[in-house]
Amino acid sequence: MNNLYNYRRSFFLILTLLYGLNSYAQEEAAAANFIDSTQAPQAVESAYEQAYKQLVAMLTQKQPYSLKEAVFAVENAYFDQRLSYERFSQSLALLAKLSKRYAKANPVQKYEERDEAQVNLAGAIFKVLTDTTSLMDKQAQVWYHLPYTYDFQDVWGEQEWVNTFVVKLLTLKSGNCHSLPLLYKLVAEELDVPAYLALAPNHMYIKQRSLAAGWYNTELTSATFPMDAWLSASGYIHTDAIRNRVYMDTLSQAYTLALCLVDLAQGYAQKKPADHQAFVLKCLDLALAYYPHFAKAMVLKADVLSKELLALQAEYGVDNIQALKEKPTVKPLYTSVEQLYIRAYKLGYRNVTKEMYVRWLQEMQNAQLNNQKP
Amino acid sequence: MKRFSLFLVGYLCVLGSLFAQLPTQPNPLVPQVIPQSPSFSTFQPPSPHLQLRQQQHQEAMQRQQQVLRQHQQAIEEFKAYQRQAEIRKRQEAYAKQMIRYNLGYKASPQATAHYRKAFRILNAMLEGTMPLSLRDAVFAVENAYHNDTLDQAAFNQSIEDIASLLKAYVKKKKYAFTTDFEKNSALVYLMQNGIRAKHPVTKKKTTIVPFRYDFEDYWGREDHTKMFVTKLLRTGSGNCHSMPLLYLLVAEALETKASLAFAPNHSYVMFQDEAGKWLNYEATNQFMASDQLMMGSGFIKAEAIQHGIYMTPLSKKEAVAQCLVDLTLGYEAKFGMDDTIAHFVSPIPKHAPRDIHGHMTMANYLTALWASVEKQLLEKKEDYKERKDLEKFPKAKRALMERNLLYKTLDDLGHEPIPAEIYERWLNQIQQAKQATHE
Repeated sequence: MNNLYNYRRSFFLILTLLYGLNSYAQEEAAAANFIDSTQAPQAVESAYEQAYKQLVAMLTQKQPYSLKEAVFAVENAYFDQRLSYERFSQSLALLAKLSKRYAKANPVQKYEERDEAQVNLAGAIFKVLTDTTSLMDKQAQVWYHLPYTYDFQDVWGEQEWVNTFVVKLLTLKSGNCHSLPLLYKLVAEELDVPAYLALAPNHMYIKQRSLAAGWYNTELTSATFPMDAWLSASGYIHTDAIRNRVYMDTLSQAYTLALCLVDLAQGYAQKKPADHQAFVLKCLDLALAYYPHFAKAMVLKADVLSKELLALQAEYGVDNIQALKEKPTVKPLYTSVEQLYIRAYKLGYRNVTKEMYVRWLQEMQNAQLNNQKP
Repeated sequence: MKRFSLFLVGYLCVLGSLFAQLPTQPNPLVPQVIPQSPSFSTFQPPSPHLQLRQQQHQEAMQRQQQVLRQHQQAIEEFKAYQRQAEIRKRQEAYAKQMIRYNLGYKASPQATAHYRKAFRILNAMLEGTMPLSLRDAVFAVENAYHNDTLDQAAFNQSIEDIASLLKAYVKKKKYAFTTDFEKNSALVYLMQNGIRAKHPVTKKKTTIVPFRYDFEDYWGREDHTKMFVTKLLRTGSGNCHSMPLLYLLVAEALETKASLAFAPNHSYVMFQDEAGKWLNYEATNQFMASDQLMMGSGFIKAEAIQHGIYMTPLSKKEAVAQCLVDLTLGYEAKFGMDDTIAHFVSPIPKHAPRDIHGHMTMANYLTALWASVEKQLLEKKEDYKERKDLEKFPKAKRALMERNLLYKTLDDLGHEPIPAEIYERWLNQIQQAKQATHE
C-alpha cells in the first residue's frame, strides 16, 4: 500500500508540474522536474568534460555499463550538471514498478513458452508507456497514468535540443524517436528485460526476441509492432544498409554507449555553436573507434570537417571547394572528408527529409489502425 | 577268498564307475582300489598269481584312468556349453536393451551406388580436386535420381544450343553483347520471350519458346523430377528451383556472371548492373523484383540478410554446395531418411558456412534420429518415461541437445518458418494465377 501511496504522490507531482509549466519555455519546463536547485551550474566545457570522462570509463570498462548513468550524464551536461540523478532514477524506478504491477495484473494471454515472464514484462512496459494505465488506491480512488506520446511539433529537436531528451519526455509526457525508445530501454534495463536499440534512417526503435515470434520490432513513436519488410520498404532502408548492419541491427552495449557519445557531441555543438570542433571530433572519433560502422557518426564527422574546409576555402580565396584538392597542405583533409561521405553512402546510410519522415510515422500509425479494424 | 573278494570289489568298482552317470564327482571308492598302499608288498609275498593279478590290476587301473579322463572331458565340454549359453543369453538380453544411435541405411549399397558417385563428384568439386562446374553438378544430381541413365553429352549440347542460339540472335539484331549486364539482359529476354535464330552449326532455324511456370506439383512432392532442369528442358515448364538453375547454366555457358539467391522456400537469380548494383531476377514469373518486394513477399527478417542466408548472391562454390542439398532431397524422395543424408550434407558447413539449407537438412536428420532414439528408449528402457529421465542416458541426451543446438543456430541465423496464415495467402495467390492461366 505504501507503493500506491508513492504512485499517487509522484503523479500528483508530475500532474502539477504539467499544469504549472506547460506555458513556460520548454527547456525550463523539461528541467524543472529534475533540476536540483542546490547545485551550482558548471561551465559548459567542464560539464561536458565530466560527462565525456564518465562515458569513457564505461567504454573502457573501468566503470560498469549503465545506460541510465550514460543517458543521465549526456543530459546533465546539457543542463550544466544541475540535474538530480536521484530524481531521475526515482522516476525510472516508478515506471519499472508500475510495469511490474501491470504485468502481474494483466498477463499476456495464450503464451506458453519458457520466456513467458519476460514477454509479460515487455508487454507491460509497452502498455504503460503507450497507453493509459488505471490504478486504484486504498480508498478505492482511481488514478490514471497517462501515456507518453509523440511530439510532432519538433521531431528532431531542431527548435530545442532538449526535445530529444529523456528528462523532457518524463516531464512533459511527449517525446520523439530518440527519447521514447531510450526510455523503453531504460525501463527494460531496470527490470532486466533484454531489449536492444536499433537504427533506421533518422530513426530509432526497439528490437526484442521472444521464443514464439523470434525477433520483433517495437515502435514507441506510433505504438506499433511493424515487421522488418515493412520498415525497410517504407523507411527508405537500402538492402546494403541491412547487409552492412548500419540499420535494423541490434546495438550492443558498446554501440549504445557510442550512441550516447554522439548525443553528447551534438549537445555540445548546440551549446557552443561557434567553437565546438575539438570536443565534437574527440567524441566522434571515440564513438567510431568502438562502433566502426556507425554511419551517422561518420557523416557528422565529415560535416564538422567540411566546415573547416569552408573556412580554408575562404582563407585561400578559391571559388570552387574542389580546388582545395590541389593544395598539398589541404589535400589529406579533403580526401578524408570525401572518404567519410563515400564510406557512409556505400554502407547504405541515407538521410530522409522531415516531410518524408513525418509522413512515414503517420503511415505506420494508420496501418496499425487499419489492421485493428475487423 | 580274501583275494578273490578283493578282485571282485575292484572289478565291481570298475564296472560301477563305467556305468556311473557322467556328471558326478570322481568315485570315492577308487582310492581304495588303487594298490598304492604299501600293505600289498609288506603283507603279501610276491607270487606268479599275484603278478598276474597285479597286471590285471594295472590294466583295470589304466582303463579306469581313461574313463576318468573321458569323464573329465565331458564335464569340461558341458561347462563350456553352459558358459556359451550364458553369453548368448546375456547378448540377447543386451540386444533387447541396446539403443541404436543411427538410422542405418534404408537401401542396399547397389541401389544407392549412383548417389554415392554423384556425392563423390560434388565433393571433389568442393575440395578443389575437380574444376567447379555448376552444369556438371546439376547433371550429377539429376543423373543420380535417374539411376545413371541420362546422357551427359545431350544435356551439355542442349545448354550450349541455347547459348549459341542467343549469341546468333543478338548478332543478327546487332544488340550490344559484351558486358555481363548486357549478356544478362539478353538472357532475361530469352527466358521471357523466347527467340528464333539460325543455329550456327546446323544452320537450321530454331525456335526457343519462352519458359513457363509449371503449376502442377510445384514443389515436386509427388514427382521429384519436377525439380529438375532436365524436366524443364524436356517440357518447357519448370519451377522456382529449375528455372533459376537453367538461367545460371546458360549464363555459365555464356561465361557471364550471375548468382543464385534464396528467399524462404524459394530461389531466384541476382546479377549486377553497370554501376555494380545487384538486381533481382525472378525467374519463375520473369520480372525484375525490388529488394523490398523480395523481402516483403518472402517474409524475410533483417537478421537473415545480415547473416547472408537470404537475398544474398551465392558464389559458384556455394551454388555447388547447394547441389548437395538437392542431392539429399532426391535421395530422401527415393529411399527415405537415413544416415547417408547426414553424410551427404556434412561437407556443406566447411565450404558454404552460410548455406541455411544444409543446416536445415541436418536439422531434419537429427530430428529423425532423436525421434528414433526416443522411441527405442520408451520401448526398451523401463526407467525412461519422459524427457526428465534423460539424465540417466547421457548419450541420448547428447542426441537431443545436438538437435536443439542446431535449431538454435537456425533461429540465430534468422531463419523463420513462414506463419501459416501468410503461407496460405500466398498459396491462394498461386491458385488464382493457376486458374487465370487455365482460362
